[in-house]
Amino acid sequence: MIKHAVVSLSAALTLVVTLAAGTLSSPAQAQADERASHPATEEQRQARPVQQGQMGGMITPIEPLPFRNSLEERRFRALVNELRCTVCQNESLAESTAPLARDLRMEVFALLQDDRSDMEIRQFMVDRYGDFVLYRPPLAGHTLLLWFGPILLLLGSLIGAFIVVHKRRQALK
Amino acid sequence: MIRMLIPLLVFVGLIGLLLISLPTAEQRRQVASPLIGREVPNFTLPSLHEPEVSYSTADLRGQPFILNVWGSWCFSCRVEHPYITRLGEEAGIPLVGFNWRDERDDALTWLSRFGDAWTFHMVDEEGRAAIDLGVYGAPETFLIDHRGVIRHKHIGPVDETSFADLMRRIEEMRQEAGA
Repeated sequence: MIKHAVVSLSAALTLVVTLAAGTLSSPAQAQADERASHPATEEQRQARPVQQGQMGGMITPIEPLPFRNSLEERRFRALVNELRCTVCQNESLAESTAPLARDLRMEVFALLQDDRSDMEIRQFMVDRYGDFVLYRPPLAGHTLLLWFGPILLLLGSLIGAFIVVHKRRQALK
Repeated sequence: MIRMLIPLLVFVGLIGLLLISLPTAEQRRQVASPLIGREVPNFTLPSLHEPEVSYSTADLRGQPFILNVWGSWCFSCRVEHPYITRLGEEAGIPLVGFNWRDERDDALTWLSRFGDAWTFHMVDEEGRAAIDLGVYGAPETFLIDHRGVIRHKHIGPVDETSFADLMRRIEEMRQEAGA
């Protein structure tokens, strides 16, 4: 009886604290976003340069660009989708209407025109903004836990589950 | 008895993680610049006051200097303005303004209204040089030593605490340059 009470009480407390943390962090986030100022471009003052994207009529902030061929356009889209907009942090360059994101998209386009490889373009961004610009972080010493943590957790819980099942079976015999 | 405490321990652990991570959340939002410890990128930009004159970061080699990214559209730049003015007066090294994505007229009006303690201003209207500097919001303040190496980057408005920190670092750079 006491055992059940303790378990359900701590489960309920965990839930409450998790929810509270979720609501607490959002005003702080909004405040931080306000503090960072970003330039307003002429286009933004007039109207947002929106265009019908390719993904089923979804609206994207990407301006029409004179690509030389469809391969270049596909490479551009792939690159801006996996590069993070550093001012907005939770949007990719493809999704953001921030002026800096626009500048960075133009930079990616200019580098493509300059016949640079995808690898070189990613490196160009990493050299200036760090690994943080990559949505797919590199596999390195300090990112090992990030890459293999989930697998470790899964393995750990599987082993745990196996032990519990095994013990209960033994007890039944 | 010990077994039923396990969920409670997990719960206490979670609380601990939250307590550790919440105060540093703001700090983690700031992207550490990979440019610190590297040479300042070389770029040549027109002057704000005399558009026909241009300045280059290479011209400043041999002495430490401060590079302050600002724009007349940037509210936080107005907040930090008193401290930037003090930097211009007290640092004893050039204070270079990096006017980012601004209109020339707006920038000049802003300076005449609030005061101009900068040694000179470079104009980056297109934002290309800013990308080379890894700028992602204004204001940002860089400290560059006499060898042209970026030693420090302060993100956001300079306040009393960061002003003291900047002055301490500037003094360090001046001593190195003098030695």
